[in-house]
Amino acid sequence: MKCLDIKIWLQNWLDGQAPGADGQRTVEPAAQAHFRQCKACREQFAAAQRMVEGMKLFSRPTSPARDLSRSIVAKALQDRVERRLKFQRRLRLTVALAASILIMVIAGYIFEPGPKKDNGNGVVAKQEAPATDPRKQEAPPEKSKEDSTPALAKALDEAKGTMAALTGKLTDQTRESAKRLITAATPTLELPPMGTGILPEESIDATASVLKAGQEISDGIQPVTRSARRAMDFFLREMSTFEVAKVE
Amino acid sequence: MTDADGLLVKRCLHGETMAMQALVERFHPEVFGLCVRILHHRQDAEDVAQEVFLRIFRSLKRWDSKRPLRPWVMGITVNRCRTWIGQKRRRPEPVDYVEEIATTTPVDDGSELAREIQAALEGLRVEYRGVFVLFHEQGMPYEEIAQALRKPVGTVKTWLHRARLEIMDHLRRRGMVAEVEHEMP
Repeated sequence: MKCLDIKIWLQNWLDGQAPGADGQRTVEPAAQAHFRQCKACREQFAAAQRMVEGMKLFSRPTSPARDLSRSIVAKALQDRVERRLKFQRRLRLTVALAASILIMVIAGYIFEPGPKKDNGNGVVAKQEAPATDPRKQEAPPEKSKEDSTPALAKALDEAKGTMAALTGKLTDQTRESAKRLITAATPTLELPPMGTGILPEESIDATASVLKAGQEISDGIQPVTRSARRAMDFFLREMSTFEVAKVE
Repeated sequence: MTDADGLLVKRCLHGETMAMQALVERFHPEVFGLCVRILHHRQDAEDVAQEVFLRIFRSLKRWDSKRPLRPWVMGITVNRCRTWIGQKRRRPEPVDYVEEIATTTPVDDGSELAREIQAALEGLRVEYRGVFVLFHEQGMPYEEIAQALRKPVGTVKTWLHRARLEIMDHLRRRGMVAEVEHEMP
């Protein structure tokens, strides 16, 4: 036998030393022969023998009290009751929580403000709540500057166009009125062909009066146009101020 | 044996006090002994043994009736001891408690050799300690220890081998092994 074989043999020897197999240990002649030659293995075996000897001297620790089993059982029964109560409490709490969530959901469904629309799939969709703040409608706070600026510019362009159209329409109406007035004033008056530069004597007075009327109409329109322009400028200035403040 | 265990467990599950007491009385010496060996403190061992039985009664319905009851009980014991040691390391130790440990004799063996083995056991890892005590003191076979600790048999064998080597080394260092001649029994 070699040292490695002795190590394996020693473990097997120790395995056979379980309580009950006491006193039956034997040492093989081959192992004995190796122990005579090898001091390290001999010492290892001696230590193993001492360990086994010491384990035999180990006495079982005595139980602390005779009525220990009774007290342990009492504690176990109490523990069982406590655990059952805890489980019931937890169950009640869970049921109560589930019921309150259900009530909240039902109440929310019943008392939800605003009409509901069916989207055709059997799902009732909520209608969007009306916005109370008009500024929020124009430029919602979630939108970025890039998103809100084109919309504002478009609105301003539309306002400008509308004002220009109104002014043009008013001018056209005034011109038509003036034409009708001239026609009514001199029904037989024949105007010379364009480019001659000479008007008949009768028509000079009529022309002067028409020019005067036209001038008066123009003077009358001017304040309206000026007021509209001022209003437009004011509107634009205010809007630009608001836009800057909002972005900041 | 397993049938008797199954019957005992069934009665315990029905809440029969006598059956519960019988179960405690049957396993208490082994559980308490293992706790003392692993924890090296009698008071701690008593507390842990009580905890072990509370745990056993709590989880009795999870016990597989096809398997023996003893390894299952011993496995719970080793686990509780390991948890106790871990908790004790984390919590601060009161001074008087430390003194109590120092003055308390860890085992009731009179022999110096037994005390040295006990001291060597204290230096072992909890797993090695448990395996060593279960094998050499409680006489459990490898298979049952493996079942109790839920480890492969090979792992149990390795742990036991290392535990033995460390204890033998301790005995040699402490001068407990006399210089032997080549005379063998």
